[in-house]
Amino acid sequence: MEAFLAQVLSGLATGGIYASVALALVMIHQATHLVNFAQGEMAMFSTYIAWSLIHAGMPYWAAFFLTIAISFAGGVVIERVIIRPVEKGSVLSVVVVFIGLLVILNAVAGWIYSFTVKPFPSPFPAEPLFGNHYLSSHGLGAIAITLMVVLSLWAFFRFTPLGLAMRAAAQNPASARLVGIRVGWMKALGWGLAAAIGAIAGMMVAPIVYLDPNMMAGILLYAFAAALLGGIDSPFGAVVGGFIVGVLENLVGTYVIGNELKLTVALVLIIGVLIVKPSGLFGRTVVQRV
Amino acid sequence: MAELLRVEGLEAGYGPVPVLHGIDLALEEGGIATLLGANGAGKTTTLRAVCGMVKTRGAIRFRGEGIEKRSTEDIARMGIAHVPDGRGTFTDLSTEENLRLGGYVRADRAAVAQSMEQMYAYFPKLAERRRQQAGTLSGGEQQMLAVARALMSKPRLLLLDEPSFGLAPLIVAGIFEILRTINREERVAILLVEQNAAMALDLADHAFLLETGRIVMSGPAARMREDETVRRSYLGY
Repeated sequence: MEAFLAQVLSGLATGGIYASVALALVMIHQATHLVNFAQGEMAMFSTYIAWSLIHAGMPYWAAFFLTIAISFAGGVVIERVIIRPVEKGSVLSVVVVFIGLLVILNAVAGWIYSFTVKPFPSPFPAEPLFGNHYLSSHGLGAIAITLMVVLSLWAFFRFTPLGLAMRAAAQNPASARLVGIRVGWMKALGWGLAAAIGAIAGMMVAPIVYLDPNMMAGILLYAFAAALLGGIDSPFGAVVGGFIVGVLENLVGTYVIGNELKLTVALVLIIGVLIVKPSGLFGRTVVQRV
Repeated sequence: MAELLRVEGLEAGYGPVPVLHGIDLALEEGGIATLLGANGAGKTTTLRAVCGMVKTRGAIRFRGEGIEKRSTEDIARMGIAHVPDGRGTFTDLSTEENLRLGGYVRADRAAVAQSMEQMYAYFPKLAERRRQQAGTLSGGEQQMLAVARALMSKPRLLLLDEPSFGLAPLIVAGIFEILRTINREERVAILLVEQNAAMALDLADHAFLLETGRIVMSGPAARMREDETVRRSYLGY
């Protein structure tokens, strides 16, 4: 029973990270109606930026927030410079650009920082909090930060005029223009937010999996599964999906198929959701008249 | 009275298909003009051209300033509010959020809140539906919401595309009554595209008759109503 509880709790901790990446995927999906395959590599690159800042002697939390700001700006620039020119093209050309971005970010990170694995510090103490031995302090901290991110995003979209404008622009761009919303910039902002969320996820996962240019590959797959499970157009669903996938992955890995085959859980989930309920748990079924 | 909108030699189309072949029209500050014409004559395209939603050639001047090269967002911010065909409702958002978006470009929050109360006074039905998802409103309510949303930006010019479309006659009459009130009280000029020519001519003080992308006749609404061709082709008696 204790082992079971430990598995569930550590599943929640990694689930929080999947939830963050899934949330970033949903953000960009809202803006472009496409899944950003480069999301993981963007997060990885952000984490390297944080690593550089910390190595240069910056205190952890200063580096943390500076990295978020840099990533936000980077996301905006990527949308303006790389995505915008191809946006009106076919779906396939945008997807190819996403994949190109993935390969480039991965290669550039390897070129600058080398492909050797680096340790990445955690801001949380090494000994478990509150005397519990099921969950490390870092795990607990990662969950708390995920929930904070989700809550502030929710408040931003729900209560601020800018958040409302972003929702309007995603939902009905033509009408949004008619009320004077600069739809292009709203999309860029969506990318910036996604990049910032990804950066947080990267910095939270790096102490667990260690920093290397390929560290996000598996995590992105779990995040895809989480976003699909929750419904690709539902931010709330992405978060719930993230936690479910995190726990499920751990339990299935421990009790059913063993840790080596854990990644297949994500794949099976993706295929399962697409077959049984393509709109996910909280997604909307889009009905279109033809 | 000062001139608000002047369109000269306006050409527009979709891809290689031309729709407008050189339109001239003008509208005075606080005036109401209507564009009449059969389906496919180019009425909707004219409205879309004015607010930069289609590629155009020719001159469009709003309050003396050329706007033909401006983006839709900029034109909206200059004071032209467009109620598009299909109403353009943000269906997933609430009625109140739709209205708030209408006032998005105005900096003065207190004035926006005041405008919203004004809209609820014009359209009490919308006040009842404040928190309701806009997509679940009835057709008439959504049309009211579209007009109210446009007015929330305190426009100088309101472009209305078929506000009567798909609505029961009684509701249409109500909407036209409110348009008359709004025109008088808010001093907002209206350029109206309408299938129901009788109602449009009743409301407007000036009318333009469009045929296959050209203005074939224009004049004061009262005189247009008396005209033999207009009467037979568009009023149906």
